[in-house]
Amino acid sequence: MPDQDVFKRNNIQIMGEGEVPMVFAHGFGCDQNMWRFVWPAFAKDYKIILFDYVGSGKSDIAAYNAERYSDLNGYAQDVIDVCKATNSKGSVFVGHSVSAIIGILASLKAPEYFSKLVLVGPSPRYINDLPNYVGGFERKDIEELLHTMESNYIGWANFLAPAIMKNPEKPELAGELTESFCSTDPVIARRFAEATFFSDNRSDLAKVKHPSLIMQCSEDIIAPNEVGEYLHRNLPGSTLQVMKATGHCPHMSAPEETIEIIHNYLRDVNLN
Amino acid sequence: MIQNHAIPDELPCGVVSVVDGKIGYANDFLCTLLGYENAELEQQQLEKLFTVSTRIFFQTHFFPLLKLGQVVEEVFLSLLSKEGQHIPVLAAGRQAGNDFYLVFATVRNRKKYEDEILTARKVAEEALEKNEMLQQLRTEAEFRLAESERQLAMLRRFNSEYVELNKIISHDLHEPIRKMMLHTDILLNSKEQDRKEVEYHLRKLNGFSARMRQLTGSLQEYVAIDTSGEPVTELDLNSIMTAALSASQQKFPDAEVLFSPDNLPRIEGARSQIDRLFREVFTNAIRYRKRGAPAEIKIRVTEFNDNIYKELKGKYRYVDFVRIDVEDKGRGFAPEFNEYIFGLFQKLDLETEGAGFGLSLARKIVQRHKGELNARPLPDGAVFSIILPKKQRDS
Repeated sequence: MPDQDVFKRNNIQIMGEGEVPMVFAHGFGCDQNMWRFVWPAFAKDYKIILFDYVGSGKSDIAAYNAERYSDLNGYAQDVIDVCKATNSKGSVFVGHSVSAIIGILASLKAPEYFSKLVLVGPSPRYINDLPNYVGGFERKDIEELLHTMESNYIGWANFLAPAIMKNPEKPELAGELTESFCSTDPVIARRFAEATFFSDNRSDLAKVKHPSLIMQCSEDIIAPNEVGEYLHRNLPGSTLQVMKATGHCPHMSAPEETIEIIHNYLRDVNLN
Repeated sequence: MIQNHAIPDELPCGVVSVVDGKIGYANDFLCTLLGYENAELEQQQLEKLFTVSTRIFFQTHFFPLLKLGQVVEEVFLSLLSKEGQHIPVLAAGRQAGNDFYLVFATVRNRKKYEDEILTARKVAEEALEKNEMLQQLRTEAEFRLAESERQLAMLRRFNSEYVELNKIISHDLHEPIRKMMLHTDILLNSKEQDRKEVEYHLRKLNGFSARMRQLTGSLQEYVAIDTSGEPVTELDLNSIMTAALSASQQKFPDAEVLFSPDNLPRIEGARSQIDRLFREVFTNAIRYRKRGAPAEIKIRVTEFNDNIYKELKGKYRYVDFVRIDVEDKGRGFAPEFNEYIFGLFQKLDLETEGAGFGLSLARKIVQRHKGELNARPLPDGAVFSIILPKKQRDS
């Protein structure tokens, strides 16, 4: 696919004054806007690349292919396409939640586009596989999640958009987000949820060749501590950093700590 | 008489304030609804109020929206009571600095009604999904697509091979014949038969016949790969690699070879062809080593997933692939020749022996195994990437 088409398809935004590319990949349930509290801190030293996966945010919904995006590898291809279109060899990849694994898959397939992987709240498998593996969830939890998502789509395709529109303090934000969240299609969201929460990528960890940073939040119910430790044990060349921030979205709840940890990691890994 | 300060506790909905991810205040209605004493909730994680699925939904949808939009309204969540009951609520949230407020209104009856609608829809969807005929047709269609993918790939390959073969017949084979005729003509037309001159032309004729034999032999081998009918079996690439290296080394008794292997996985393939593939790639690396230096060959293996459909657009099935990078510190080549070197009887270095046949054959073998063989120069040498799916037979 020609590079220009990828720009439109994945709603690529390029910012920053640096040379080294830094690619930010959003997780399930949101879009590139979730990085807005973090990327500006790196804009001076890096070329910032933001994008939406096909089916999320302001991506081109016409490019959605059910077969491709039922598999995390289909999303990994989006990452590779974005790197290729923006000519981003040797990039620092920052992926939140499921995008951590998507980034790993992309780095295996097209290693030249990556130099370091920053994994925010990663998990290689969400469902428990006892007695040897604790992912945090049972299959029925995920089925309930799918139900909760469906309940939130009844009768109002413009998911959550009304809430965003009523934001008198920041009208520019409201407009942007309304459009962005309006385009979230329930069928696509469900399939993304299934691809995410039913995935099992434990066997891919040992194949990873790039150095990585695991940012483990405290009391993160989606990626609990055990998962972070499992990843650290099984991901060659990984550094584990437990954060003070709680919850699953430190880049939104604690952007300063998130920035500092990424910054220090990049400094240290470059020194070595 | 309503007392203003008591309003939050009197309200017929749940109210909670969240400070640093923990419950700061929970009103009486919420505590009663969930069966907790006020003190049991204060300073607890907010998640304590939610069912497991709502915890995920809250983290992936509700919280990001709240942070980005300040206000969230009309979201379905399930609360979890102390006794473990699920209580459906409509939630709204509002950001206040770094903290936020949530309110919950119970919607038990409405939820029942909406669940019925959802169930009905799902039943309809499942009926469609489970329709046996549909399933059967789908399997059949998938099978046919795999078949047309195979045929498309084969056609594309055949087509480029025909172009290649045409070039060889019209040039590479034509050229020795032209020269043979030239020498025969001289012999037939010269009146005085000088023994020495005759011998010279016969020697030339002999040389060109040998060249013809080599070319036709190679061509036959190249074409025969398509009709070999060798069965696909599971192969231990490590032993094939080791055997192929020593076979290639034997061709160059004077060359020193430094080899650093990697651990190769088991894959499916036609044994003799995969063996030949490694031999050709290793032979190439040893033949074009730097003059007076040992051949340094380094193997690096990466396993990844890729779409098995390369020809059909819009079709996706991700399967296991392996990429075997064979790095050498040899003479390398200019980047613009990265395709040229795979052409039949095409050589960059005319000084070195070899017919320019090995890499063409290697690429053909890889393509027959639904893979790719690429080359690119490195600052010091070159790397040949063998990319193969791990399974050949469709599961």
